[in-house]
Amino acid sequence: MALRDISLTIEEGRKTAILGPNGAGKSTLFLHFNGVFKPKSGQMLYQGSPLVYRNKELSQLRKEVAVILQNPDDQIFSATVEEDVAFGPLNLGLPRDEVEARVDEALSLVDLTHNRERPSQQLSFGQRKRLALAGALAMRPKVLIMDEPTAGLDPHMVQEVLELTEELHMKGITLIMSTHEMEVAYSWADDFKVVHQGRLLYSGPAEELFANRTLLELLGFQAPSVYRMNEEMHRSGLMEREPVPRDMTEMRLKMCRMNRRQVGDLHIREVDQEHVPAVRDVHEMLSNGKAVGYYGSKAKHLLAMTLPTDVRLPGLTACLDKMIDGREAVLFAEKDLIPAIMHHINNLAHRYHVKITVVQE
Amino acid sequence: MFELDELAYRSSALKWSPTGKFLFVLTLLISSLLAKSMLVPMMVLVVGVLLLGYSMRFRFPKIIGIIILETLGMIVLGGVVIAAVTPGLTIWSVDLGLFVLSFSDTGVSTASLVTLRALAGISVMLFFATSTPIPHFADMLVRFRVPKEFTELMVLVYRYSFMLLDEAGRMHLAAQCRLGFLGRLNSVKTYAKMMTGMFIRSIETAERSNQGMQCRNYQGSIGMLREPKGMSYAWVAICVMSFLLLLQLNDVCVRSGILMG
Repeated sequence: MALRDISLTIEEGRKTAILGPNGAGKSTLFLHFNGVFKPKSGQMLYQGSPLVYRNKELSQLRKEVAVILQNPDDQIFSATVEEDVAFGPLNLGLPRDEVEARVDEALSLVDLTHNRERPSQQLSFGQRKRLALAGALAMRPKVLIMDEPTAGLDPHMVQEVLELTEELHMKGITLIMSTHEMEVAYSWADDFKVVHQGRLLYSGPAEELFANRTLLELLGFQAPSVYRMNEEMHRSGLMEREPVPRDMTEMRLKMCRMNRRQVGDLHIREVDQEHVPAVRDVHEMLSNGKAVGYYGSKAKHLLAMTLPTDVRLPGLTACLDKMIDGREAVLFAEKDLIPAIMHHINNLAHRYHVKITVVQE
Repeated sequence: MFELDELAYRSSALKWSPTGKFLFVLTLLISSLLAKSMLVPMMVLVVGVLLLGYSMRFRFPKIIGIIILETLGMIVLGGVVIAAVTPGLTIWSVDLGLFVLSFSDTGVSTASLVTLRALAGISVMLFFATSTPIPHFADMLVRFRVPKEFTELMVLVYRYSFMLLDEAGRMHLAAQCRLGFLGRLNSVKTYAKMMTGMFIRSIETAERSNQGMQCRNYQGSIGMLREPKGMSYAWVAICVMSFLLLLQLNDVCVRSGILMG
């Protein structure tokens, strides 16, 4: 799809969702972002400077701006998992040790460490999606562009991908994602942009887009169910309009305030190579009715190595849901991510005027 | 293809040097071909079967059975023809009405030798094929100074052939769901459409893959993170010793007239 009269800015450090029906030009736009396509007129700017379409400059650009294509098979070239993750770093001409370190890190982030020697064609679709993500992460990009990363994945996997992108965002990576799933986009993105027939039709906050019914009808989109539920309850006089919740967990937090219900406490426990929880302790927590979860790929990896395979711990959102039920929750996370988690929880507590006690242990 | 690939990745001999394996297999093949006595190909056959068994942890899957049976059929048929057409002293004959089928002593000996050589060759080659994935084979070719352009194409063809097979399978299923194979003429038409579709989709895939490679900073050659083990002196020693041993065995057999072909 050819792009026409398109002008947009992606802000550094933000999560931007690009929406649009099939064939709207989203993928074409993404390939302009990393210089694979060159505009016939106009210009692309990265960090304020126009793109230079010479090999050396393009190589530098693609090192910083990684694109994950919609179909993972379009960007998996190597026969085994680790060889494919190493493809990008080897192209950068990095030393072997550095490549090894990046491959380890990327595989651990997407939870494919145990599959590193497997042939790529033997992976499931979900695993191939994660492999494509690992291939991009191994480049250690500043900007990560994902073309429909959740398409074709089961709900559990979608949650995992979103949690991973959340972690990457906390680590300072600018994220851009295209999707058809309005619910996913609404709960995830800071900024919304809508592309239709090669043109940019909307750029701004999600709520303004949902309020524009003509535009929604033109695009064939529907506002997310949580947004519509909030509107409907407000119209019925059941709750105030603001703050508008972004997902069901936030809606439940809002209802907690209305019903003056107490939210359970959150205990955040640091986890690293030296501080891995004992299986006995986790079982004890679970049998005491506590919700136990993890945040971040490192914590997930360490817990997976320790705990039996039948104990599958949920992420932060699931823990929050259990806290809203009034249960106490214990969240394992690596040290670097704890301030970001506390910031996130405090933001939620402040936004919905609920008291959430967070204890760092 | 899928099964053989899986076997290669699960093989106990996966970590062995592909160059070493290849040279050893080649040594056994040449020794077997040079031999005048049937004992040498017999020995190679035993070694080949043992290696094959070790490679697959002595669990022979169905695919190996099918390959062996198919090749065995061809080899036996070839052997019968050789035994029938080689002149010599007739040791057995049968009247088939239109003609008399006779087997000569020379014919039977030659056919036995050829059959054993073929069986030995297949066993060792099967060991190599089921323990060496294509990327390892490509790495071996690089060590033999085969141009990188050729070996990289080989690896890409290998990778994409799986996708092509997947795509063909999906198209076949889709056609089947819509009664595409109802009737012979209809089936031919459907297969023709599938072939056209495959061609178009291959071009599209190539285009998208090119974009994918550019996204990942492709600089003209595909690097390898973990190269398979290279050739060691131990492999050279094993190859030379095996060759000399089999040659010696052949000499002894020729001199004593044991199991001569």
